[in-house]
Amino acid sequence: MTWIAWRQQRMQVLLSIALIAVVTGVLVYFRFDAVTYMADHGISGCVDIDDGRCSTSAMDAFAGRYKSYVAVLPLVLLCLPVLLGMFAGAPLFAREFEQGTHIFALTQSVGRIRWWSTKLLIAAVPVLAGTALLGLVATWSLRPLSFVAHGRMTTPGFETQGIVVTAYTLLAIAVGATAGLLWRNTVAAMALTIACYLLLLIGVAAVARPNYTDPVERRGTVAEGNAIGSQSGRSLVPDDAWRVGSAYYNAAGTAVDFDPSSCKSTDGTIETCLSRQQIATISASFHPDGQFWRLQLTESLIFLVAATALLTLGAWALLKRLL
Amino acid sequence: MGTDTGHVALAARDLGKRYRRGWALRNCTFELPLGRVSALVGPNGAGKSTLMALSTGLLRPSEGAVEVLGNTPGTGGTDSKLAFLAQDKPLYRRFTVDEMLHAGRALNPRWDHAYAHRLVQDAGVNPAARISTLSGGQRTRVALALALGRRPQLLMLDEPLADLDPLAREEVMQAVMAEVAETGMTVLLSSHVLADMEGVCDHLILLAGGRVHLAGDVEDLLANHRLLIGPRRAEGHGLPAGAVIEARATGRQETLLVRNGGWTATTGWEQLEPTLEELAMAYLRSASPSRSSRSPEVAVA
Repeated sequence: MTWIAWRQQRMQVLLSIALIAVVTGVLVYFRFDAVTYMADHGISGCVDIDDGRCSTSAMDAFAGRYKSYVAVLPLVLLCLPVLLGMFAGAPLFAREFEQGTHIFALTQSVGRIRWWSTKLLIAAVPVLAGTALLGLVATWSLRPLSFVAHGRMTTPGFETQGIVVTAYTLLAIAVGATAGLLWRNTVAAMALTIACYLLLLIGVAAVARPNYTDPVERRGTVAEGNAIGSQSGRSLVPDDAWRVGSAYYNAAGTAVDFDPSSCKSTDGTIETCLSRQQIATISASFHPDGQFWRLQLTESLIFLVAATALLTLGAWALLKRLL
Repeated sequence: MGTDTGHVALAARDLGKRYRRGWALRNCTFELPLGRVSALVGPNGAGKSTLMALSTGLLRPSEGAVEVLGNTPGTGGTDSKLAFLAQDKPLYRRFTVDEMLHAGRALNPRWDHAYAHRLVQDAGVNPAARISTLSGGQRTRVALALALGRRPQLLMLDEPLADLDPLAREEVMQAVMAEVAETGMTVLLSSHVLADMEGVCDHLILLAGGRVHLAGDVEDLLANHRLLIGPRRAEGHGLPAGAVIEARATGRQETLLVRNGGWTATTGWEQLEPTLEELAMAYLRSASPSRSSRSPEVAVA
């Protein structure tokens, strides 16, 4: 059965691995390119702007050079898991049903579960191994470009690095394979894969991810708070962190509301507006870069559980349903 | 069935299969003894494919039971002593013939590779050719080689000739019958064209509307039936309704198919033993309400 599954999948598997290899090659190239550039311009290891060698002008030039790469790359890396997973998963069983070949395979001396699991393993394992490598290489290669990418905690950096890339691929395979098994239609299974993937990805990022672990909270003056989002290194929130909330306090330390819509053009800066509303200190809560792997692990587990549930449903349906 | 399993290849007891749209097969009871070549005859949609799918384990019965060589089909693959050739001969289109045979070997612990190879060679099929490039007849021969490579005791063929030209039909039937003669295996062959089977099969299972109307050895079936031909009588044929399978009037003449000695006390009829085709057609017509209600002229065969 292994040989048959490999013979059926080999084109698909080899193309997927080739695609992953090309993207990995691009990542490695840009890593070395960026490191060389930083060494040549004396900004090696700079992640923030400071008064020393990581000067504003040098860092701006650095950002300008890699801005478009850092903007385009995540788009590719966001699409890859769902596309690879969709092409590996959706036709896996749907095409057999469409061409009637499941009748051939399942009227031999091979049980349904062995047929199902062998096909699934041959289709999924190489692609998962490839995306695992891809995610880790992406993490490593984008490290020097942290300043340009504003870290790896926010979308799309978080979704395109680390182990979640593999988890997303696994989910896409599971949705595609199970949908193909239930609906027996490749195109429908593909469409469903994309729809489910987007829904789950966006839903998890918006609802679940902020709650994986407690954010760090930090208080500061209005001036410090105002520096949020700047890359000066003097901000309340580090530039590579993921800010999830803020609170405002008056001079007495009581929490107050801030109404941005009451800011007037005569206020000039946001600081004046904050002061006019009696706001003295600002508190920001955020997930620092140090929580990256913790969040990656939790998110991967969520997708792993979802994928396992879907695959179990598929296996159950295969045993229960007519063919 | 218990004690009978020793000489029964395929047995069904009150077998029924219900799809969402209704019953495809119901109250189906018969036994196919070992060594027979059986024709599974019925119009399209009679439940022939459903019966075969139930036997291979592709489907599970909604009621009753089916036994293949004494075993109940399950989800662990088809019984190794049963080989099945599905109606549209599903094969992996991008595989070569050789790769397809290799697949047969990979899927079956009991597999006669040399035999399967020889069958493909006998069919004149190039082993390096892709399945997608084969003609209908060649595809059928490859699918047949894959089925026979399992060295089955029971071979089930679902409409094996349906999409073939007359020459290929004859070749495929010859190839099947040559192997049957050599191995003595039991064959269940479905078709809606009885002419393909006459002279080949010695057993008949007649399905119509999801029910078994006739099952048994051809010799016995023919001996149990008579065609009565006589003048059409105004008062009716006067035979017990249960014994008359079909009564057809053509002009002033009437033809009856009568079963189980229902003809013994009659006079004025010419008695003939029916041919297999006459027998099957009479049962099929009588099982089909839309056709038997038509005017007598149309019913002339």
